[in-house]
Amino acid sequence: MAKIVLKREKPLNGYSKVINKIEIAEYKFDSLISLAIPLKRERKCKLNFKNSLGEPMPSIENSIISKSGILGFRIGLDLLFICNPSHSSFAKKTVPLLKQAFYITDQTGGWCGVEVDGDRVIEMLERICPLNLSQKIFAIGDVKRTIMDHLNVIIFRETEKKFILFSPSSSSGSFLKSIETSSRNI
Amino acid sequence: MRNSSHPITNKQKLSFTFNGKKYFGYKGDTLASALIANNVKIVGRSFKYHRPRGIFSAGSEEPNALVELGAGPYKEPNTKATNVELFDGLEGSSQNFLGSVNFDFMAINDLLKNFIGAGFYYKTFMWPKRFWEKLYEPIIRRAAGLGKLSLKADPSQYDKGYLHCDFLIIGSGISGLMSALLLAETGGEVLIVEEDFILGGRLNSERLVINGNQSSIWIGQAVKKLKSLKNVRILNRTTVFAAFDHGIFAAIEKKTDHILEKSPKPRQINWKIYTKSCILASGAIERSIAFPQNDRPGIMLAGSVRTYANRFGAHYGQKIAIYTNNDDGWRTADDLKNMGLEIKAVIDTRKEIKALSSCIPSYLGQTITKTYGRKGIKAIKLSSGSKLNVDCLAVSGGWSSNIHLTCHKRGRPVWDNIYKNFLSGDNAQKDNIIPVGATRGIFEIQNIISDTNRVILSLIEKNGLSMPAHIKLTSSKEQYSCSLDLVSSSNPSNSFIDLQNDVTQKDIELSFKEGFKSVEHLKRYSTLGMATDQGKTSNILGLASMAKLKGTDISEVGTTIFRPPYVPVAISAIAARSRGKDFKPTRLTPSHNVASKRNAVFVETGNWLRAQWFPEKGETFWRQSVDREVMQTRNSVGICDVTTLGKIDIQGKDCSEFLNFVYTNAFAKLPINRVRYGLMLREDGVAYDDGTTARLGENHFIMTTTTANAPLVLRNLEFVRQCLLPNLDVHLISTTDSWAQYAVAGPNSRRLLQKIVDKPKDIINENFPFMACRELTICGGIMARLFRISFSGELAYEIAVPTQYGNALFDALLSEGEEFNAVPYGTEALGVMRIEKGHAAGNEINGQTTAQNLGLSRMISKKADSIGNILSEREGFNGSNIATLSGFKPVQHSQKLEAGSHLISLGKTPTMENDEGWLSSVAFSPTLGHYIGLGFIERGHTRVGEKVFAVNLLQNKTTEVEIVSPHFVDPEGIKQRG
Repeated sequence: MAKIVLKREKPLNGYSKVINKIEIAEYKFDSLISLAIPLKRERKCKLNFKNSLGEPMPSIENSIISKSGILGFRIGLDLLFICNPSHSSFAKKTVPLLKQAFYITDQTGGWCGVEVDGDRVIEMLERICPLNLSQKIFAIGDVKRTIMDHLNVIIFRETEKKFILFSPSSSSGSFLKSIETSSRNI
Repeated sequence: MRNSSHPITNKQKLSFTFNGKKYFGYKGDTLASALIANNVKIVGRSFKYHRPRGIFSAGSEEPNALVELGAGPYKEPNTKATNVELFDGLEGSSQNFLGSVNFDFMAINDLLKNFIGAGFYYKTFMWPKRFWEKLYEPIIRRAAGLGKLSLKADPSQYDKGYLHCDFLIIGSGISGLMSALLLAETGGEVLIVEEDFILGGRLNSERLVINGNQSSIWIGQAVKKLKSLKNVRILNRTTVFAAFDHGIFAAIEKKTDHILEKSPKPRQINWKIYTKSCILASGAIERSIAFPQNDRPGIMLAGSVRTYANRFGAHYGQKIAIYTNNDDGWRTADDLKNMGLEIKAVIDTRKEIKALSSCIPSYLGQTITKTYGRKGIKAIKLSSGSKLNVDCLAVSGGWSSNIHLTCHKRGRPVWDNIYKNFLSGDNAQKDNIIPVGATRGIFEIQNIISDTNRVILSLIEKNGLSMPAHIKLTSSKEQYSCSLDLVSSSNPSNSFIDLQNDVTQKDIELSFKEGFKSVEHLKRYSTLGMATDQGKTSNILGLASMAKLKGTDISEVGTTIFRPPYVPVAISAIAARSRGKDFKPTRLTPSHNVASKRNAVFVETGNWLRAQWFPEKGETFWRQSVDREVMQTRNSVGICDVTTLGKIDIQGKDCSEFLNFVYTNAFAKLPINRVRYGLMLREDGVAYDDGTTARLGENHFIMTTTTANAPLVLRNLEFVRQCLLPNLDVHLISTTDSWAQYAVAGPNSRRLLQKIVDKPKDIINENFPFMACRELTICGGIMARLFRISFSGELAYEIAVPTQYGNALFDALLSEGEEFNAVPYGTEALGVMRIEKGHAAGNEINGQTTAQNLGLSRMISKKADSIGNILSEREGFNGSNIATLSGFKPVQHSQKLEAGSHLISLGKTPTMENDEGWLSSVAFSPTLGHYIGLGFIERGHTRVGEKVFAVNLLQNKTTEVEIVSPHFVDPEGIKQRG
């Protein structure tokens, strides 16, 4: 039997473009999982998180980046996301460790990440993002769940002028169009 | 005319056309100021009587100068010339006339004025009844309206956006700028929004002195300072048009309206502004006085005459009279006289005043009883009998605080008897809208300065912010007092109260006589205060007139309140970028690219685009493709993308208890690696949604929902989890987007899948029977989930892989399936096969049917509580006469069935009383060679073999059908278990 190879695709096929000095690029990650904290087990989860990723479990709407570059963010009372850009031992070592405390759901295929970076990025985001992105309110490392152009979005502030936006993969084309349109319109 | 020494004449000269004639203006002009400078007096015709009208005001309160701008698809009607920033190449034209604006055939209405007063068509067009729709209404509609739409799609771009601030300051006059300077010192985020294209508000219209200099110097300094501050943002050309709850305001920013070249950038932006406090510095609006023929071109608000003269160096004529009931009218006289214009007279309704200019001829205690000059005022007659020749009459009935936005949340204004003015009520303060300056009813600049300091510093103190120092300004001294002499007692049919809607004093009297005395009734009966200006210049006149008739004062009469929008807003700006295909997001299935390459015809299902069918060469009609897809699937194997079905990952130690509560049937004992069909009810016992749920582990289930209900079911489950059963350890994650899921159906489906899965023996019937599921690997280690479930009735599976492998797997299944003649099939073939099998779908579970209707009553567990369980036992749901899901086929096989047809017993007439049910889904069955249908009919399960009529009254079609089992194909389920 001939070996069948399934080619993995990115939602935006590695898109990258600069519009009005805003760099827009697909945020590439190897895997994205969600961690649900079992009822009344937060303390155990905090210990497990620290052991698994070497960083304290973030508070709600906050994030951590591990030494190996793994991004973890908490978007609710009992829900976190872990985004692994490329760390090879994540699936074999880290995930089984996390499974000892959390309920884990693989969401790698469910989300598309878009990085937006540049001096005019706030101006651009003002057209689609209903959140107050003032640094006093939404500081570096903060993360929030919101709606942009009717789409569910998780926004993460990496630096003053750089954000990562996660939105559902099925509508990633529409979301990218919203970002492009906003960038052109400023 | 233009004052040649005015600084505006040093600016760039601009050319524009109005009614096809070329004119010149200057950068900094509005269209209105440029028309005045060019002595264009008639700019439009009035709404009802088509009387010639000229420019009346200098702002968004303008009732007369509504013009059409642009050409072709860019044409925009009903634009206020007073708000239009002049640019080189501007094209404007008058509207609402038949013939030309100078000779309007519709002006015959003016002669019929006595017959077509307020409410005339409520009375006139009562009979004969049948004339209304075909005669009266079309005529009225043709005669009504102002400008005309281009009837072409607007090619301009629009956008929307969100702004956040601590302090929103609406207006940039002296109180707005002072507020901004003070609040900026606190470090809070300040947003200044100004409707005009320059900042400064009313100061730009006056010759006031601040700190010993012209006020423009102070404006420049203040604006420069504000622009240098990082926490201050200024939006000019922006109008806040609505106030909403929770400190939310809506504003329209005009980005490119003042540029001729059509820009790819948005023309306007619809901003949603979130603020903690709003400082309302929107100033005040001057009102008119009602006197006979007070609507002639050349009769203008006195403050506006002053604005045009001071700011733009523009004025009508040389012989100007001022008619006033307050001190401010005298200021206009002073300013115009200082410009060298001849002031023929100041007519003041008050008998005693402190004369402001002794060298101006004055007529105290007098009124104007008549004016002359149809197409432009030529003379006025006073109550003393004197007649004065004038070519411009400036009228001032006093000032009204611009409190429009304070009313949007039902704030009711209160009457201030000192300044004869409505002020914002307590509601505004509760809503954190803080009026300052003239908006607070303070009209003298020296008092505005001290009061704004006091109000803003008090706000800062109240909020516990760092206190800035007072702003110390010295200024000119003003005085303002006003009488309420607003309506004349003579010739009420020609005394206009509301210029925009042609409401006269006679109309107010008629309203009073007919019992419409309440202000709410008055407004609706007479149309006072309606239309694009919302009565900004006329409301107080109307109220004063009604007060006079009732023998009371305005505070007793009360007032209607303003509603959003403050100014007209283009529908396109409200829609912003949500037009055409951008109206809503599009969701693509994981196999979209492969389906596109195979020429799939797509259909919108919610936001999803799904392949409907896959036409092949030579197929010219959709059913050829669908029939082929069905037959190839039933004969061999077909593959369909079913990713759009909702997938919910349910984990937690209490998830089986949770599922027992949301489904009518039990899931606690479902073995691991097995699937069960589940039915959900609403709380009222009506069927809500159905689907299969697979158990992957002791504490791990995967629920599927229908495509249409996926978000609703998840929301409902979250409600149950968080509100009804908060003590259960259950977690829900939507994984619809995470997994690409394909149905592989048909007798060769297993053989095809065995080529894909890494361990083919794992899926033989013995190891993987009907309703089994498992996690496995395919194609050399790719994680996958396999479910042995069948919607088609065939031996079938659904295979799921992470979405990123979706296109690849769909392609692989088709290429590996070539040896079986595998076919991709779309939603049409899917629908046909599920009808053939008798599976209920959205047409059957449509919010009107119950488990009993669907023949699923045995699925309602009586042992445990579940949502809808109790109410499903209602008598009406369980009688012997209830409609049940049945199959239907035409007696004559060549006949077509129509979904929605009503089922009527043979020999009975198709009436509501005889209606026994309906056809919910129909399809042509290529398997059986004729149409089939599913539907609901009373006692259907006991009437198999009986013939009834399927009546479609919309198509006037009656078809005789036979009631049969809903399971047209493989009723015993042998195939799916094979």
